[in-house]
Amino acid sequence: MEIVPQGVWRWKIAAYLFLAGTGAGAVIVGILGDFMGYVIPAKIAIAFGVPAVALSTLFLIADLGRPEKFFRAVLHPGTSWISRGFFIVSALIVSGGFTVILWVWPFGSVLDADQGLRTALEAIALVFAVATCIYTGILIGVVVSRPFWNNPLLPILFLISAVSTGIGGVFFITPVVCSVLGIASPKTAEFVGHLESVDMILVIAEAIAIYLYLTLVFDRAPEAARLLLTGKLSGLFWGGFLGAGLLVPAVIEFFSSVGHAEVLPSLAPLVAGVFLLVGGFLMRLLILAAGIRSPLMVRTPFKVRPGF
Amino acid sequence: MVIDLLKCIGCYGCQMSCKAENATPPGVTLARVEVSEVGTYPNVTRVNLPLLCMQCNEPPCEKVCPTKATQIRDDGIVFVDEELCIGCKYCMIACPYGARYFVEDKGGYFGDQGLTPYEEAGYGEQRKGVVLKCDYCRHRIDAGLAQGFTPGIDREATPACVTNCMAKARYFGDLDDPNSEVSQLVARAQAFQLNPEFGTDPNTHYLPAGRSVVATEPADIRTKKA
Repeated sequence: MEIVPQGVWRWKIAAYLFLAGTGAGAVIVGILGDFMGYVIPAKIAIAFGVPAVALSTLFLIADLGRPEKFFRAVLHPGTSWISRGFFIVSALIVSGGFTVILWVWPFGSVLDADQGLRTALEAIALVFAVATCIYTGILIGVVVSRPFWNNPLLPILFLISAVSTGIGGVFFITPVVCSVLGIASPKTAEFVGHLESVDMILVIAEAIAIYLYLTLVFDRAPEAARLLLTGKLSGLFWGGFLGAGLLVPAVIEFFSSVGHAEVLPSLAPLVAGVFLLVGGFLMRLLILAAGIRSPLMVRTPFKVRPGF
Repeated sequence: MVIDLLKCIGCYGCQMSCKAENATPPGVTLARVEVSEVGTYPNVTRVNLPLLCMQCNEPPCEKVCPTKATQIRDDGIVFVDEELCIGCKYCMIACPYGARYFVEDKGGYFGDQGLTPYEEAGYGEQRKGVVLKCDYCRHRIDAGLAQGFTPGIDREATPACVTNCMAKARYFGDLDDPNSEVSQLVARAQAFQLNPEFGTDPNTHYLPAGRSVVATEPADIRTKKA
């Protein structure tokens, strides 16, 4: 029997999970960067991350059958992770949005002067950014009848990937902004250099997490695992996600951090960033597509079109 | 509802009567029959598995619905309030039985000719972009009860798939009443629920195809006078 990938939530939901994760990851990177004293790159990262999260929600709304009624999704936070996610993501957009408005544009100097308010806003945004990354894993992880997702490692995998793709976004946007505005500085280059080292660790952690994940789900969801490893999705999985999305950026980061660029813009992180972002999107897409239902059992295994 | 897999002959009568009764668009089969071969040669058998919404006591679709469009009635029927549904499809992700369908704007059965008045009534604008599911023909049950009929006994108050099953493989009634036919079948005839490990506790039970005891004949809902 041919296994059909999960077809209810497709690329729009993958784009939502990816952009929400990437944006939240960039916000995490920016805020931690500010805590460590890298003010300019922190501003760039947060000003990139918050709009990315806001954009992600448009993909979610576009996937609705009745997009004009999207606001009703808040009505069932008691048990529905879409309702809870609505609150979490909204809180991130609001707290991050205030940070951007008062620190970057249009009232850029307010938070430069008021250190206390800035730290408070950033602390709130940081909490909801981490919550957003984890929630995207819980959203699909709670579905018991799709054993490929129903796994405690999924939120962790999504968190690692979110921070990594957030770094990818920062890699991409920082040289662009610096060269356009002419604000390149050794300090920014140093920050990007640190991020390269951090992301190498994250990519390795993500590869280990994927390996553990597949090991964990293989017994419970053999069809889904085969779909990824040898089936219809295997090309995208091996070549797209593992090859282009993890291996290539790791190699670029390795050689770039060995021969460190002194002043931005350097092309290496920018290229690595693009590969990281592509890999992050493919990962969401593949995990969504592999989330097929368990077969229905009628005394003997009766397989009802898994994946349908 | 109790479905006897020993009696089901896989005629798809339930699927067709459901489409006729509920006027569902192409691709939407609120009641359906899945056919599969089980076992390995030479011990192979064909199994017909009629499926519909299991009307779970613990429906995962209701838990994940962000708008409370999916609701549970006092009689246990799980239904979708189409006015509240925003079409997020989270319930389709959560349902273990594939019992939910999204109504895409893909037209009707007659292509370029547009929708017939019958189709327009069934899936015109009011149902576009929402998720549909079987609700045991609650409109029939409610209308029948209002006229004094009994669900499972009188066809006027019984789901269309049950009244139309020519093999009489479907039994309908009140599982809360220990003396009802369905309760008796569940108690006596080795009935099972589909994939109980999901914790859904379905109100649709099945009698296994491979068993020695044949269930008692159902009350003949076709001929009984009101």
